[in-house]
Amino acid sequence: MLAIYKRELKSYFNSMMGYAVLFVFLLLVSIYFWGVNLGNQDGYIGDTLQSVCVIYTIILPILTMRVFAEEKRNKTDQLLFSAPVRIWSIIWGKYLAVVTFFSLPFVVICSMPLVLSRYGTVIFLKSYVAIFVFWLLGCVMLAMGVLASSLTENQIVAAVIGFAANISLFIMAQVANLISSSASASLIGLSILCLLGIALVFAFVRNIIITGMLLIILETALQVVYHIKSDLFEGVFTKVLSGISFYSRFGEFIGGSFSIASVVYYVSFIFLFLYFTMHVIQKRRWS
Amino acid sequence: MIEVKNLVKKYGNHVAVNNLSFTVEDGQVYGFLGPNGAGKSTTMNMIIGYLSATEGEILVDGHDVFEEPEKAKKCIGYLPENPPLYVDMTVYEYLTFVAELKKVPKKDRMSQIEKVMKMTHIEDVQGRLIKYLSKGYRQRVGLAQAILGFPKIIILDEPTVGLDPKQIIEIRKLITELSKNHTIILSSHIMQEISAVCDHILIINKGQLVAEGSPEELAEMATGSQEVSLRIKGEKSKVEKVINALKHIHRKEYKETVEEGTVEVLLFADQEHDIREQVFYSFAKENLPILHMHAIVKSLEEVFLEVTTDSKGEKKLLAHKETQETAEEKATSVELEKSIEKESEE
Repeated sequence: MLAIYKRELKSYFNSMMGYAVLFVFLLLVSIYFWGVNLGNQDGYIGDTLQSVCVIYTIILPILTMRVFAEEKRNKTDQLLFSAPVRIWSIIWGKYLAVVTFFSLPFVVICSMPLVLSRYGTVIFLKSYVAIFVFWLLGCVMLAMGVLASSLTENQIVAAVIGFAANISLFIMAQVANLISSSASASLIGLSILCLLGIALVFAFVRNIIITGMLLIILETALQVVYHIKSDLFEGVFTKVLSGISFYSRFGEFIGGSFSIASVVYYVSFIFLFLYFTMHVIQKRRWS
Repeated sequence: MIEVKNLVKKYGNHVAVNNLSFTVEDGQVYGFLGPNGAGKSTTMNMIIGYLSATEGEILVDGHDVFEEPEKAKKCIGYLPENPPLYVDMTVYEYLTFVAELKKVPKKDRMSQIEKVMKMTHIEDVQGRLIKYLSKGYRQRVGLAQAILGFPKIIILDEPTVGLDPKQIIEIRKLITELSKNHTIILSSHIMQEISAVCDHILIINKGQLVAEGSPEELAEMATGSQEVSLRIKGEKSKVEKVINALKHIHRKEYKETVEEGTVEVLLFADQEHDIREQVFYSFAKENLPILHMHAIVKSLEEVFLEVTTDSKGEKKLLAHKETQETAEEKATSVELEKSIEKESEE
């Protein structure tokens, strides 16, 4: 795992792309910091981070797009998968390398509250929790990007998949607040969500019977519950959407409420995405 | 030792490898021979655990590739068809990475890397980025990578594709050298390459093992009949009369005349009876001089074509075409090799 980690990290330093992405990221964070914190005389770094988190949707897929796609394209994956190393540790080696590279600008970000403390009072614990969660959110998105990269051998396609997934998660948080909280709207929303989920399952399993059965069971369950007790559905869709979205959970943190459940939620999604990545790679060997 | 038992690999409805079984003994050079798309690479990829089998099992040194992949993979060095190189690394960095990946103990790493670079003659380029290397050098770096760690078994998938004849000879020498301490499996669709370096040949066609044995055994196997070509001075009617009187001949083919006043003929006979003496005396009796007599021994190439083509007419035609092409190919490459050998002698 260490060998792969070192090689992967070195390749980020060897490519222009890596530096460019970090530069843009840091530049944007700094501009927002200047505007939001320094300009408004605001002592809380979380406000900057919340405004700037939308750029994750663009820069993180670019960082992760080459992780597996390039290996497959250059056929170097044959070297990795014929070496006496577990697939799981190959994935972790690569993931930790990209996380390490992505963490570099946080050295600068971590110094920002110190700068602010020169001009007024800063609540350090709250500030650093905000930075930590901001970093953790990035880590989840990186894991998702690694998964996207394992799906294809074209880097651009990998980046687009990552971007699409990211942006829909981001928009989800916004959309959740717009939808009416009536029970029927919730039912429709949940049905669509079910359909999307089932489509995802189908993409992995590729078995029309199993997925079809699953869809029918879920839909009937929804309908039955709706007809028996429709007031249960009120506002449910909004809750579900904001529950799923990594970004709305991030918003809660910035608001000042630290929830262990959300941290666990993030960490378990990192594992889940990497587990899916392993599944995709294994599947390719079997097909 | 590698044991492959009833191996099957299906891609959807397409059967790439069909019930393949064979055993690779230690300390020998094995050659996989087969036309393009015969399933050579697929089989190799399954042995090293890159692809999984639909059915069947593979034991490498007693370890099942699918059950205990790490242990099995540790015994094997592999050079795929396209050398798996990270082009943004220098040769030395790359080999260091591979050594770490293969879990070569830290104290041996340096010396092993030096050794494999020496064996594959890439010391001069060790500081260069792989992306600036030529195809031949890349192939050699790939080979160095496969040798690194000095595993028991080294698998090489078409190791000489895209190399010039001089490099081909170098790689062959290296393979012969390696075979003293390692079991080697290599694949190729070029017969003379296989017959030059291999102790044992497995001919694969459409995912099935169609013939197996040493080069000599295979050649013997295919020579079921005896062929003698003749050039006789004299009138055709006289010659025909003599030939018709010969014994044990089951087929004859008259060819176009090459020299004026001669007859060109190809005779087929049972293997048990050498017809040459009989031919000589019969023509001598009729005062017809034999200008040219040649018994044809089948080459590995013909064996290969015989076992890999169907008996249907269509396929035969295709095979015939291929024979011509490969024969030409062979001729040119042999010439090239000869000229290079001459040069190096000088």
